Amino acid sequence: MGLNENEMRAAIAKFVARAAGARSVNVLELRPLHGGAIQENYALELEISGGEFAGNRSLVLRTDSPSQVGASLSRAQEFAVLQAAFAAGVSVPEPLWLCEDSSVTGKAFLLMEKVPGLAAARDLVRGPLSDEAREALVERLGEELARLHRIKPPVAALAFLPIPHHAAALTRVALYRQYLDALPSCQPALEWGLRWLERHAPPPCEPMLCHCDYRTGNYMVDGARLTGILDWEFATWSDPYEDLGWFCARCWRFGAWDKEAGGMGSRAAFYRGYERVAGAAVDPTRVAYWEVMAAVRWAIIALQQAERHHSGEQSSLELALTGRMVPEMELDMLMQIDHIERRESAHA
Amino acid sequence: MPDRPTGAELLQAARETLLSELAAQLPAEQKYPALMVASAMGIAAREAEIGSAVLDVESDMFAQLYGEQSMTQAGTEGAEQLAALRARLADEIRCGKFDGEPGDRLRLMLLEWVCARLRVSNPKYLKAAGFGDE
Repeated sequence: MGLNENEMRAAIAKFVARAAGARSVNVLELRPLHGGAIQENYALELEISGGEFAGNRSLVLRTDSPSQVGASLSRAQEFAVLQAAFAAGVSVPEPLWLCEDSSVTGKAFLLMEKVPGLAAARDLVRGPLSDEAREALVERLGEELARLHRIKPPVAALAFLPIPHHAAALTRVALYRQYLDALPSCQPALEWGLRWLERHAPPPCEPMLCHCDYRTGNYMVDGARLTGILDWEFATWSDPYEDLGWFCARCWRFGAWDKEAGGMGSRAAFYRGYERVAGAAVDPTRVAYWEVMAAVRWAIIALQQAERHHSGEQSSLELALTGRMVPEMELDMLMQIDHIERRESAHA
Repeated sequence: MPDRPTGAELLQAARETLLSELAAQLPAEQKYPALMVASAMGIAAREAEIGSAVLDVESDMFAQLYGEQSMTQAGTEGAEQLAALRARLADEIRCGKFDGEPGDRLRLMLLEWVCARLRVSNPKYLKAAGFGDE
């Protein structure tokens, strides 16, 4: 972050002391947390003396990492989204303070409560939870998502989020074509999927606040209990089915193919939780459409990540291998379209 | 014929040594990088072995779509020609030129191309998706 560790600890302590109205703040630990491709996260243990936050506090400090992704929110914007979600009763780590003054540590950062548990998708999917516990967890995740989708524009604090002018699906198709055009190679299979998505776009609906990366790997579970939804940097106004489709898409089941809700539980349980809070039925055909979109989106992100490696911007075996995952998403995309069309012709 | 063992065979043998003898000795935080290395070696080995089949499937697709004469070059020029045909197909799909196609001709060709690439990059994935060992 430009500063050495001691300077950074001192800068953080000074910032928190002022923000928390504390007499003094002692940084007990500052430890990088891996896992953020876009953000750098640090676990922060503080001893706060005086003021309303007095005591020992476990926080997460979130800042920008060296390689920025244009589409993601700034820390200030992410802080505003976290506040809105927290206020709406969504289980998120409580956002505490935002530092936009880059003279403090070198770049903007936000501080939030550290929630306990495990987020690593493969560990969760292969972990020891019983089937009942998994069903309860995905039902709860459905509830949380519906609670988020209650937030509708306009919201003054979220005025920086663009409101889609036509169907959110068509906005996405246009954006993903732009992303493909910025890449060096042409992608006939993904173009075919995008054309299908364009021709089959569902009618526009009222936009709602969507997380846009709502999937296993981006929520924390402590034992069997959901403790927080993480990684809000892609949130925007969109079709709520975008989140439902992303969560259920085959590419986010981490090998647990038969557990259609995030590799963790049944679609029925996930929808049940969602419907209970939303007070309306989930339309499975609309979810199915957005699962095609999910496969295309993840394929394009994978191409972008591989390009970061090829271009020399960030040499990394992990990014390079991600590029070779593209045909997996293309197969998912083709199979999902086939599945939708077979079902349609069966009902015709 | 290249000398035996071929490059692909050497990569496979190296990968097995990495997984069976070295990976277990590594501290926990280096297991994942070791698995990534093994995965990269596996892809490279399969590509050396069957990578030409992917090009054949793609060339066949263009021959069916744009005529036998569309693929005339080999080597570097062939790769450029393939890239140009890929760009043409991508553009025509986007413009809707294939919208009125009867049946699933293009979709099935794309599926075959995707499956050929998966046989190199992740044959297990192909199998798990129900496409067997074709």
